[in-house]
Amino acid sequence: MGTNVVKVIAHHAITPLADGSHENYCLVKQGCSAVQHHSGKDWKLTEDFMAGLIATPFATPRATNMALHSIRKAMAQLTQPLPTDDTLLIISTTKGNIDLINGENETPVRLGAMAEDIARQLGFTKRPIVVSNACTSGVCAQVAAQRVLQGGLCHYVIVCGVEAQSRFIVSGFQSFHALSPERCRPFSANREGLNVGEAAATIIYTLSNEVKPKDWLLQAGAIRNDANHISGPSRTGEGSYRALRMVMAEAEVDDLAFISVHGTATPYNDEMESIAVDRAGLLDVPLCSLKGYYGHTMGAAGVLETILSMEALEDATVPATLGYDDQLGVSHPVAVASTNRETDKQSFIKLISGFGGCNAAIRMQRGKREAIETNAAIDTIETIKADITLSPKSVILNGQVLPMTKTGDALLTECYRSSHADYPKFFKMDPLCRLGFVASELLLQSVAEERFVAREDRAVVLTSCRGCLHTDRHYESTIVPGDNYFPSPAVFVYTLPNIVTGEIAIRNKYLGETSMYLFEETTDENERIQILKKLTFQDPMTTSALIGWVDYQDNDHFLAKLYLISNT
Amino acid sequence: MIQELKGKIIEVLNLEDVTPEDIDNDAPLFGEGLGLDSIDALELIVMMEKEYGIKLKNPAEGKEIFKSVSVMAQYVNEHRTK
Repeated sequence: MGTNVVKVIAHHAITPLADGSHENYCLVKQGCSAVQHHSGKDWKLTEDFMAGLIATPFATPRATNMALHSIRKAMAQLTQPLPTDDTLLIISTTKGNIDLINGENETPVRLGAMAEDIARQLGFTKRPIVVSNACTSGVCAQVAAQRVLQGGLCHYVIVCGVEAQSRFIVSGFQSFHALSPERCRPFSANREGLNVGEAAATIIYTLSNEVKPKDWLLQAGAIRNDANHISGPSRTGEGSYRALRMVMAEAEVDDLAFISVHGTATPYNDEMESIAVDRAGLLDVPLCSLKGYYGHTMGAAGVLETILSMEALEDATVPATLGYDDQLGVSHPVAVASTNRETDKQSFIKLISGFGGCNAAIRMQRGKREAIETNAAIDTIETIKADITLSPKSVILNGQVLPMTKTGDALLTECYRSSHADYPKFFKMDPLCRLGFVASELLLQSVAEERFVAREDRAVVLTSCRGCLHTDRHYESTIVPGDNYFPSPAVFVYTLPNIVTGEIAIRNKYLGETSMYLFEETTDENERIQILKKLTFQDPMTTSALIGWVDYQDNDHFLAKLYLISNT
Repeated sequence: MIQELKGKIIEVLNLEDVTPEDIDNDAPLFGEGLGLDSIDALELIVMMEKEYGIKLKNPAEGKEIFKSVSVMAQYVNEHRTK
């Protein structure tokens, strides 16, 4: 008997290249790319674009059916039938079925509802969890899987990352001038941006005390915020550096075969990662970006790239960075290569970053048991230090009703004014962020603690039902085909539900974990809070957290219910 | 044109507490004063296309154009197509 480990028991990926993990890896090894030219006209866009799109016709709702396909194929590899009653489904996606935003029924667009639909069709009895932390979601979902397993919430976790492309997403990246007119060239001096891609990828994890030489173990995971900017990568690589440092805490650099970096091929992302890798003391470790093969598959990327990295090491290979032309275009001398390299090492890191300032890393190891460092405080009783409930007609702070005169959106502005926060960025935020921002501001002002000092020990972990659905509709109104097609970057950036956690982190200089989970409104609040606590306090550095619910439907329907909790 | 641009900048960038008088004609738009960032620059590029029919091929060109409201006004006057 030893300590339990979190191990992989099955995985599957469907991409434009192939249907199956190993089939995909074989094509990666040969240097195939899914990224092709697509006509803007066909998508009612003003410009053409390069993307990796799956040709297989999936029925509507497309993202749902892509996920179902991948999960079924992964489950079919197992001898024991899943799901059992102690199997949890975790879905990772940024925009889910956003292509249905103009439909009469909003349900398939709500990410929590999408996950419940998938869970229902597959016969899960446990309520699913959705992780939507922008492009880091796929790694964050695996961190969550590790925590729910070690926290005793379930015995099996099925993590599925899925992203279907749409004119919504492509137009948004075009408005950011982030897309490369050619296949992306990660880390190259002449890189011009990213390509988008689509995929569904599934990993099934279980808790076990038995380790065979072929078993892949999820050894460590961490999520960190830059506390810098909602769309621009940190100039100091802050969050990625801190996430790397966390997952390497108990590990030897020499054991690492490679770091599967984010490597989107935007000028700022790759530069940021080179800084983070240097700061973490990992310059000698080979890097590889898989974006040249598939493009950026967003919510699926963290899962897909973990699967391909496992496949590569089973083949004793560090994959080439397709598109890299041997002219290093970042300021720190990272070990990226244009050809496949041999390795006999059995461990890698998957690193990823995204809008909202979030960064995440996991370290995977094959066949070797390591004692897993968990936060001894998991089972201690957390204390609530302060709480706030903010709805269109009232603000209740620590049990006291605040005297307010306005209602709805005007109440949010009144809260901002009354908090005396000199923070004009408030007026640039979308309603969900305004709601979360003023609620957190009033809450934090009510406790006696020093503010605005950089700290890594406080997490911001929120849940929502609609996420940014209100802003999704606003953005959609800027991309109506025809004379009024002017996609707004300032609106698009707020179409990610985790941005609210990033805004709070930036305001308060919180460098700790930030996460956004989506649940349907019908979930019991106590159930949600219990899950949040399990998920949040397993990070060894987290000693307090701003957790709760933030949901914005319209001027007359919104609710923020936040708690500041501490385990000390 | 300078006054018109100031109004539009305040509107599209949601500069709630800023008045046109607060924006110096010759001060850098992206300096300390207004606290604008990279997303604001992208949004100004959209505004120039929407309002004046000016399409920038490369967002880096914005750097020169957004040096000040005066420079921007001159550029719009010279390049507008609507």
